[in-house]
Amino acid sequence: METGSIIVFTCNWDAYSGLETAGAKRHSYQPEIIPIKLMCLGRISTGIILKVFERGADGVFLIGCPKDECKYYFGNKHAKTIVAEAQELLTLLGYSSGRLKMDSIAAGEGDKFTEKVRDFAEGLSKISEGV
Amino acid sequence: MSKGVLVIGGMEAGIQAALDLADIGAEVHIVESTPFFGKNSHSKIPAHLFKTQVMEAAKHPRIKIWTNTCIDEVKKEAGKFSVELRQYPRFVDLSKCTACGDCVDVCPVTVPGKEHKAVYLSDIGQPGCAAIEKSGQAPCSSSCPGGIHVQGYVALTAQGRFKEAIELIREAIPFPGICGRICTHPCEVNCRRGDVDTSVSIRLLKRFLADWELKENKNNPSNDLAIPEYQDNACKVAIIGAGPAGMTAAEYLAKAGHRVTVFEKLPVVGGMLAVGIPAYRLPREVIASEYKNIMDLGVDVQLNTAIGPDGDYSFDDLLNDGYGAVCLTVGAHSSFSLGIPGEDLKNVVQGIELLKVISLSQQTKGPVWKKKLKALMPSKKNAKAVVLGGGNTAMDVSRALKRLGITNVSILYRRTRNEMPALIEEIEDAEHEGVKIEFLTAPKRIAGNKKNMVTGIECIRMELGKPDESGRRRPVPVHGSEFLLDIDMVVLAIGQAPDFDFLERNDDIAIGNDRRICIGSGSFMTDQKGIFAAGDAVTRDKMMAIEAIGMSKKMAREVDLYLRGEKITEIASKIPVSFREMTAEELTPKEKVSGPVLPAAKRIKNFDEVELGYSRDQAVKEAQRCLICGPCSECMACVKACKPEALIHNQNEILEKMNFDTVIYADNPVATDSMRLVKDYLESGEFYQVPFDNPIMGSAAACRVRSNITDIKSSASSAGIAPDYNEHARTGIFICKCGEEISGIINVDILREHALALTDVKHVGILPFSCRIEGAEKINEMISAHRLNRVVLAACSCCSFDQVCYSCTYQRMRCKSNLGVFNIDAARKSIIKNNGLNSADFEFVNIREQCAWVHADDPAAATVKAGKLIAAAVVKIREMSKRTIEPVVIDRSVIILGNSPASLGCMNGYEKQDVKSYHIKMPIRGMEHVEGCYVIKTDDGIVKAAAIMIAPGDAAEAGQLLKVFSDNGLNVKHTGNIIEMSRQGVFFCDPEFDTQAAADAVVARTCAWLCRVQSNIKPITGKVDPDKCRMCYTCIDVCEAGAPRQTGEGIDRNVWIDPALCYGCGTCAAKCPSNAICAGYSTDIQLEAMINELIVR
Repeated sequence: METGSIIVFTCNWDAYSGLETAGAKRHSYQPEIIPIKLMCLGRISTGIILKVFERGADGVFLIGCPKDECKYYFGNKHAKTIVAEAQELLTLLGYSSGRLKMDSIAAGEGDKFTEKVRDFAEGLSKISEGV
Repeated sequence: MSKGVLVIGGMEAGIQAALDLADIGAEVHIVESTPFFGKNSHSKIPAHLFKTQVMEAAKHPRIKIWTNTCIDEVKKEAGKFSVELRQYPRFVDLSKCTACGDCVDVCPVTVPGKEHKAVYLSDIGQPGCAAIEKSGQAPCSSSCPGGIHVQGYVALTAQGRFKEAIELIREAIPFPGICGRICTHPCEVNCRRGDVDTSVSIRLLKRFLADWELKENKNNPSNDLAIPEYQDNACKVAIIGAGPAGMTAAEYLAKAGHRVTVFEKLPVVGGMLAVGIPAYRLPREVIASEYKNIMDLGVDVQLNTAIGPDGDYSFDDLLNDGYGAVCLTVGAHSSFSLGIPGEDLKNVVQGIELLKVISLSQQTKGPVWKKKLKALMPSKKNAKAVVLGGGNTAMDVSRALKRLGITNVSILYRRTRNEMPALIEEIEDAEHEGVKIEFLTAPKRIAGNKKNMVTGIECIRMELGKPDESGRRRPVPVHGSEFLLDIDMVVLAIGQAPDFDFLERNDDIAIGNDRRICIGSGSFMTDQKGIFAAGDAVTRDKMMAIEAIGMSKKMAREVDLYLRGEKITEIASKIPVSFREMTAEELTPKEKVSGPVLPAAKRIKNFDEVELGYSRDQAVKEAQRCLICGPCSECMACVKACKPEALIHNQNEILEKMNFDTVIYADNPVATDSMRLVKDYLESGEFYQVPFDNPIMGSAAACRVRSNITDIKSSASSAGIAPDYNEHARTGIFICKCGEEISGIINVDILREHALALTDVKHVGILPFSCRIEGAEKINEMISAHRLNRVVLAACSCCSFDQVCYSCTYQRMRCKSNLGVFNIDAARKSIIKNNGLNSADFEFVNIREQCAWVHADDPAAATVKAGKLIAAAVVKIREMSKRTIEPVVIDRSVIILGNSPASLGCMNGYEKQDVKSYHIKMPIRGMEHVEGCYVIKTDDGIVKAAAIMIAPGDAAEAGQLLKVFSDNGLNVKHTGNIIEMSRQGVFFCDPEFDTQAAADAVVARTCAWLCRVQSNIKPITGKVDPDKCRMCYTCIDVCEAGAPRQTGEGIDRNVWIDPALCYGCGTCAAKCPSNAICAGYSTDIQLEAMINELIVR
């Protein structure tokens, strides 16, 4: 049975290291969570986010480095404006705002990565159930 | 020839110095005395950043890292330093270990005073491979002639892991039950707990394990008795004598696939074990059961069969019957005589003969041996017996006589208790049973009556004189001290010799002057070809059973090689004995668990076993007294658990002598003793010392030693990255099993089927370990075989770039290195180069941390998800952009801003490194970055340089200088790194620091950057498609690194991204309204294609 899909974009630095640490610690999370690694969240565009929803994903979660700790100093800040733009477009298209989210973790925070992606996935099922 | 620079100490300062020097082209060797390059807990560098630095050093083509390495010797020769390095073994193969931790899980030993096991991994230390803490072999293991890993089975027993423990013993010897009872235990003699209180009762532990196994086998009998299957070329081997030596050889040779027949003259098996050791010490059932195990291997034992001229077969008979080899393990069954008057009297008996007759009378059914025994024993009631000798045979004989009803038994020994060769416990047991020992007493004459019966023995008292050749003090008679004892029986127990009646006059077997068979040293072959010998028959030294077993095992190995016609390959070198220092706490006494025994009054009534053996709890408790000398116990549990076969327990140290131009000392002088050898050179200023935890001082040292280095290889610019994608994609997919880390969860066969169905996929291979060189070789082979031009590796590695990220591991780096991603060394196989491929043609996808390890609870879903990730990688690599990134060639020049006194030092520093520097005075009229150069206008004119160094005199000036940047639209910030600013090519000389040190450090970092940026072009770097660019300047506005610049004017206007400044983050590509920029990890086209594969509608 094909379950829903949740795309988690991570940057290559703190966020990806959190994802890896979660793996190394054998934390489990929902298998519908599928990661895509970008060098920096600054690489994301509204077009890509909308493409994921167009394809039928349940949600998009972007995880980057903590504020002011972006590896490239400015990518994070641009991602934030992109996500805000995309959020507006998604609302216009009738999507619940809970389906798109941006967050951050520090390097090696595997526990936080797991917690955040699990919570996001659980939030999405609540949205789907209309709770 | 000089090897460049030696850096001592693999911590913050040492690693930084090595990187700065290697980047400018120096060859660097960095030595660390521990198994891991690690950071200090107080250091401000975050762990993940330090880890990436070490990994950068490890993969650097000009840095060689040495772990576990100490400086042995330093000499100054012709202006160079000749240094001898000693690398202690890690016992783990760095090219194989996957850091899975299976070894750590099974290791029974926790290193005293530390929190880790004897085999351990480090959280952040690199190389991220296991290491074994083993300063040598424990004295117990090292002294065991049978080659048993003694500390190993003690450690396993202490954990209640009895099955593994007994298996470990069985790997070395076939007789744990026998040796557990009668071994003279050199292990206990050498046990270091003996220096604290009393040795660990190792023999009793072995006996417990043997008894435990017997009970287990009884409770769970296994039906799968292996019936031996012989190969056509199996050889026949004859073994003469079924003692411990003979049967050890029989076991070894049977396991090696030979057909073994053992010929035994006596009516029972066991040799001396069965006829020389009384049953109360070694019950015959124990011999029977351990011999049965060997016979079950297909060994045929023929009893009552003598070999020799008067025997059933001659040697010729055997050789004619097709026996390829004969092993003489006949033991030593005849006795020495004393040479005093009266020895020919009746009731003067050889001890060995008496024990044999007693044993055989008990073990055989007929009356023959019982009659013989009766004839040897005195018939008189209340007879008195005297035993002459001080060895174990004397004890055995006297205790046996007690059991046969002779109440008055004394031993006469000519020296004192201290010189007695018998084991202390044997002497004590004899005394407990009422045997009287007369020390310093020697016999002169045995008196008899007319019937030739013994009536008495005349003795003389002795005293100890000077030591003889054996080191023992020689006994000398005391004149006039003669006395006569009334006795009825004398037993001689003064030594044994082999009986050579079986040899034939015409054979070539030589007997030495010492009445022992001569054999070739190491070959164990007698002078007659094909006839080998071992055990008591070949050595005059008092041989213990365990020595005979050990010797016979070595002989059997030679016999096997002889039969196969092979030469000895190599003899495993012995590793040294461990004498690690122990703390006072470790050395606190722990009471010995005494094993239960039958009470003396009860035991002298019969031949029942005296020792009763430990209970389970007693055994565990006694084993826990072990002092963990190794500390590694060599239990070999790790070897059995390690799937990539990365453990090398017999690894040896390496000595290497090298010449260096200069040496940087960046070690902790308190924690290591490395200071001792380098002290003089540090004092004379010939070596540079830096605080081990200060990376800035590391850079400063790198700058200072620069002028001492004779050979600097300037880094050539790498060729532009221009993959050839005109060819139609032929994709190969390789799935790594990672032992079972991946394949234990993900069904790799289903995954393979799924992958084979993907478009353009021509081959799907499954690799056991992709990070081993064999994995890379396999990929290489398949690339050629299937003409692949794109490769997806589904393993744990996560990118195919020449970069180290926070998540990188030693194994990923090794995998990429094997595949040639770093092109570390032209001599090493580089798949990418060999096949005309380029790193862009490889795409790695991590299915371990992203699937197997996080979805262990849902293997089916993990497999499906892995399939999607692979499909996404396949389309991603198909849609790889066709951009060509030209390398940058930059002028090696620096602009120095500010009035710091350091600026003068900096100019000198740059000059020494052939870097042009310009010190610019305020005011600055303009600043921009054009075509890879910073351009600064002042009142004196225009200055151009590749880098800028900000050297303010104080904090106020620092603020002013930074304002110049922002006033001119060039964004620059401080980063976590004190020297390097957020903008590439801008460096900061902190006025807070020591002027000269700060200047030197900044020079080193600037020079390293200038070299690095020329030689290291990353495929993630941005590239503008001029046909699509609308000149909207969005990219220029968005990029705070200042990489995109306008070039040309008017109709020739264009945007160019400076690869020296571009981070590769991809923000410009995301913002570009006309999709004209490729930058970052994936293009829009790739991302779209991947999303299509990842989300299946």
